[in-house]
Amino acid sequence: MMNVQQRKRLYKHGKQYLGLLVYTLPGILFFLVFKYWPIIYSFILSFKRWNFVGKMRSVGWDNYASMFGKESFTSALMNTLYYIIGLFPFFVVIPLLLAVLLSNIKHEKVQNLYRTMFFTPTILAFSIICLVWMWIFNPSFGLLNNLLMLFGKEGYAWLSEQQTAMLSIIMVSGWKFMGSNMILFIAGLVTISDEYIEASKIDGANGWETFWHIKWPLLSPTTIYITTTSVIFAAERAFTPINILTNGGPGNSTTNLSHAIYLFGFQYFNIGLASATAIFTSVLFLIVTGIMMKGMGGFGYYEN
Amino acid sequence: MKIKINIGRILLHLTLIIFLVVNIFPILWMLSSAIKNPNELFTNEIRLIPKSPTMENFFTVFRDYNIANWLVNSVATTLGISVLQVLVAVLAAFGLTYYKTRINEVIFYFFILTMVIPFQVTMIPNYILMSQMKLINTWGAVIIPNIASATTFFFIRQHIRGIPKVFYEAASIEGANSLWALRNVVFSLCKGAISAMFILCVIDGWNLYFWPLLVLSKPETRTITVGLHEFLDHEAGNRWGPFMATATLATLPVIILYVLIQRNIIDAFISSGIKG
Repeated sequence: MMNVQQRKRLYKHGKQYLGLLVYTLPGILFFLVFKYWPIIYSFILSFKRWNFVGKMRSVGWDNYASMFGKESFTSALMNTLYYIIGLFPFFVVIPLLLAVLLSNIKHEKVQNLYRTMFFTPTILAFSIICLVWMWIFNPSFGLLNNLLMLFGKEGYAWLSEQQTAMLSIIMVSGWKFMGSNMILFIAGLVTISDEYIEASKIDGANGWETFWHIKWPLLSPTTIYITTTSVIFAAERAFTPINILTNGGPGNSTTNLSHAIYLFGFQYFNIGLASATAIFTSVLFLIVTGIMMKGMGGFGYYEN
Repeated sequence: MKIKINIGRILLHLTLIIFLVVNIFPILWMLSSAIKNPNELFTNEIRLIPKSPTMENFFTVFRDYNIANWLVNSVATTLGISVLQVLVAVLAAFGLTYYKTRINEVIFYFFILTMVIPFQVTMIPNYILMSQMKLINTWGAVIIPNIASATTFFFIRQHIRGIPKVFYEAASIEGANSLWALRNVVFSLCKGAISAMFILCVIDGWNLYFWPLLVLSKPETRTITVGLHEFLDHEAGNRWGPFMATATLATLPVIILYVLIQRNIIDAFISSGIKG
C-alpha cells in the first residue's frame, strides 16, 4: 500500500511526464516519420534492386560493391574532394580577411552598412542566383566574357568546357556564401576579449603577430564550424548550382555526391544504388560532424 | 603619423569596396537585365543603366507564363512551412523547459541529432511516403516533410531556456496552467526571437529548390524557384529577358523584407545558421 506522500509524488511525476509528452508529441511524430524512418528505410532500400514501380528484389551488398566500380560514383566522390579544396579560399580565407578588415572600422554605422551589403547574397534564392550567373557566364553575351573582351582577352564557354565548368560552380558558390561566413567570423572576433589584444600590443606584437598568435587560435571554433559546413556544402548543397549550371557535365566532371544520388534515383530509377550512395554520404557526414563536435565541445546541453 | 593612418584607412576601404562591388554587382545586373529590351540585352556592351528601359519583359511574363500560379504556390508553401515549423518547435522547446523529467535529455537529443541527417538520405523515402499519401503535386508534399527542423527547434529552445524560473513560478502560484504560461510567458518574452526565426524560415521556404523540384512536376503546381526552369530551353535558346523579370519579382519581396529588418535577420543567422 502506498501512503499519501508516495501517491502524491507519483501523481506529480506522472503529471510532469504527461505534460512533457503532450507538448513534444507533434515534434516527436514529425521527426520520427520524416527524419528517423527515412534513414531506416534508406538502409533497407540500399540492399534492394527497385525502380519505384516494379517488384523489389533483395541483392545483399551488391549495391555497395558495384558502387565503387561506377564511374559516375567515383568521379562524384573525387569531385566532392576537389570542391572542398576549391571552396576553401572562398569559404574561409576571403571571409576571414574581410572580417578582420571590417572589424578595424570603429564607426558603427559604416561597419553596419558594409555588413548589411555583404550579407545580401545570403538571403537570395540559390537557384535564382545560379540562373543569373548562368547569364553572366553566357559565352556570346555574358558579362564575364564582355569584361574579358574589354581587356582584349578571349572569352570561355565557361559552363561547357572541362577546365572552367567546376571553377564556375565554385565561383558562384563562393560568391553566395562569402558574406555569411564573413558575418560568422566577425561574430567570432567580437567574442575575443580586448584584454588579450591589449596585452599582446604591450608585448610589442604587430598587427600580423596579434592576428596569428591571438585571434586565429581563439577563432578556431568558428573556423571548425565553417570548414565543416563547407564539407557538407561540397557533398550536399552544391547540388543546386551543379544541377542548374552544368547538370554534372561535361561528362561527369562536375558531379558531387548529392547529384550522383539524384541521378541514380530520379534519372536512372536505380533506387538501390541511390540509397547505398545516400547511406555512404551519411556515414561520411557523421564522421565529419563528429570531428567538428569534438573540436567545438558538443551541442551545449546543460540541464540547469 | 597622421598621413600614414589615413593611407591605411583608404586602403582598407578600397579593398572592402572592391569586394563589395563583386558582391553586389550580379544583383544589380539582374535588375538591369530585367528592364532591358532584347537589342540591349544581347550585346557585348556593358551598361548597367539601360538606354531605353522597358517593362516589356514583365508584361511577357504575366501574359505567357503561369507566374501568378507560381507566386501563389510559393506564398502558400512558404507560410505553411514557416508557421508549422515554428509552432512545432515552440511547443517542443516549451515542454522541455516547463516540465522536468528523466527523459528530457533523451527527447532533446532525439530532436537535435537529426541535424546531421543529410537531405539526400531522407529524400527518396520521403518522396515514396508523399506519393503513397497521394500528395505529389500538392502544397502538402512541399510542406509536410519540411516541418521537422532541428535548427529551428535548437534556436527557439536556446531562447526559451533563458527565461528566468520566477516567471513560471508566478504562474503556478496563481494556479494557472501550462497553456497560460505558454501564452503569457513564452510568447510575450520570446516574441523577438520567435519572429526572427519565423522570418528566417520564410526566407528559407521561399528559396527552397531541390525538394519542390522533385514533388512538383505539373507546371501549374510549381513554386517560383522551380518555375524559373521554364525559361531554359536548349533548342530555342533561353529566354533571358522574361527570366530576369521573374527573378526580380521573386527576389524583391526578400530584399524588401531584408532592408526592413536586416539587423534581426543577421543576428538570428549568427545564432542559428541559414539552412540554405
